[in-house]
Amino acid sequence: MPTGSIKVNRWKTSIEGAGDGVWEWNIQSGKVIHSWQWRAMLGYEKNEIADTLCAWNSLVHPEDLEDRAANLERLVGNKSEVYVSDSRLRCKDGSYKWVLNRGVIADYTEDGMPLRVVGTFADIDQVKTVDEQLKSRERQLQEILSFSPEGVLVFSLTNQLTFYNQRLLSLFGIELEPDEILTTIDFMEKIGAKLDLSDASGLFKGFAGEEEGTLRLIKPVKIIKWEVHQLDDPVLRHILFFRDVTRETEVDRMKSEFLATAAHELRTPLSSIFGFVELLLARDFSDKDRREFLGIIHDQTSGLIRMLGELLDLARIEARIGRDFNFQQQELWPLVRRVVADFKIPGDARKVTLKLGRRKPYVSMDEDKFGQALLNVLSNAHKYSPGKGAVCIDSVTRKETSRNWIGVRVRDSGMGMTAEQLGRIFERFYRADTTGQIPGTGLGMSLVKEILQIHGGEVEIKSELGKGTEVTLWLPETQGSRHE
Amino acid sequence: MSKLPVLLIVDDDKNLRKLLAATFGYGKFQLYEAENGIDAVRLAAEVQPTVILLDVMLPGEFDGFEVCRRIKAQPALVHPRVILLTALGQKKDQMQGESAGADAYIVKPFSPLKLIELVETMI
Repeated sequence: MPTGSIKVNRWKTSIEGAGDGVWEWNIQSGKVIHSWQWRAMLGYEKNEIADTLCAWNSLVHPEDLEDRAANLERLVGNKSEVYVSDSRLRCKDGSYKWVLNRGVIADYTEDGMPLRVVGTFADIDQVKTVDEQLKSRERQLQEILSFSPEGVLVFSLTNQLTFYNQRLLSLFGIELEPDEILTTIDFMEKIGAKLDLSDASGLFKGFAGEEEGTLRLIKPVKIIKWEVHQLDDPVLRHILFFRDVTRETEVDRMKSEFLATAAHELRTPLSSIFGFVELLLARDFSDKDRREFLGIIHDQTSGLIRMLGELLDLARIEARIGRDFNFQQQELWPLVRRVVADFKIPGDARKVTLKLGRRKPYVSMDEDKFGQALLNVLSNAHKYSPGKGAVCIDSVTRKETSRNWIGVRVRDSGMGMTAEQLGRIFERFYRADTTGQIPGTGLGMSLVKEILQIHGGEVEIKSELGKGTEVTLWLPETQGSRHE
Repeated sequence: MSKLPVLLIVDDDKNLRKLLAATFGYGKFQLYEAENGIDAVRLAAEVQPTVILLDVMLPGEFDGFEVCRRIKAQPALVHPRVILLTALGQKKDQMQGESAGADAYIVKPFSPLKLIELVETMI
């Protein structure tokens, strides 16, 4: 076919002029002919590589063999009339080079099977290297951002989701297919069902370029702060950061609530003190009135002093988290007996009934602190059961797989609490009594709880309105407990 | 006899009630006391006070704001003047007091002598 040969030759010339090479493969004979660029590209001398497919294959990087074989298979099996394969070939110096091979069937046998394939090869090593570097950079970026505590989201100029990290998905509790193409609106729909709707419109504005805002997630309940930045990039438009601020928000709320309550609790006694002193200075009162007013001033002042002390105790315990507790292994009952013996309320002649049983439990405790906790509970039992039966202390035990617990149970038959009051008992400044009849700061049980927690113990409370309250201070027992 | 202006004291803290009663117990007022919101609304309708000294944080169903709203909403020729006494000193509490129709808003602790001056301007 003279005309055909001339065409092929011209084609060869033009391709080789561009720096690429050509090859021809006879499928039946297995013979392969390359133009000279082939060897030059890989650094081989003439005759160093045989003109066979086998010789070719021996140069292919083991990882690329399978792919290449599959491509050849399609060609030989007449499933495809073109052949495209990029693979790494071994150079003479042992290094590998990326080569792109493209071929097309040039002749068929009489029964229609492929006979001869012609094609080109090109050195794409540089392209591949840059490509690999880019991919590796992207992997690194993904890896780095996967450790970010913030969810990251990037949108392109065409409002398509172009990047996100794993944290974003976990933050919103959503899943995305790895290659899913999403627009801003698709993404909003994904998270929309989980949002408080009044916030969602804010986020839409965010995509329109607003700088920051807050989202409330309904399920699971979370508060998420977001901020958006414009990117100076020809393809990417926005980057958004999402941060879970649920805890900070809660802590902030508790702090300001605490401040407001503390201010209220300080202002009330100060009103009496300030007011009565001003009246006493401005007017003459009868002896009886004057005594009464001074009595109120004194009571309120002692209340303030007590509150200040308890606030400082609480702050100290919280700040030091038990580091200034002096723990000693010791028998529990001597301390309980001592606290009970020292306990008195002016004008209350009731005795505490003590039933501690025959066991002698040992615990690890700070005597002063645990004593203070017990004293608080004991004085509550008296204050909230005015004139109603004795306060009783006994012991209870509980077994868990790994350890025994000993409980000091304080019971009164006083006014008790509703479930709602019981639920708030550990709140700072919370008082079950709002009439002002029973003195107290509302800090005592907060202190008890903190002290028991640092002992590794627990506070258990049962109460029934009008019937009485039962408080158990549980401590883990240590070695040494014994029967008498 | 009953020409003296009526003053209604509403506070759940008995020391504060005592203080206010002593403050205004110099013979120029007829004094009444209530210790919760429901009693306050009932008593206000009954004794038609000129001035009400009203604590904001009251136990039970009605707090001071609610008491103030209800008293100001009652049909009457002249409504009592309401002075809110509160240990809540924040701006939003004060605004809530204004929207409830209170005439004055005093933050605890307060000066009894200044409170007398204020009440005297209202009778």
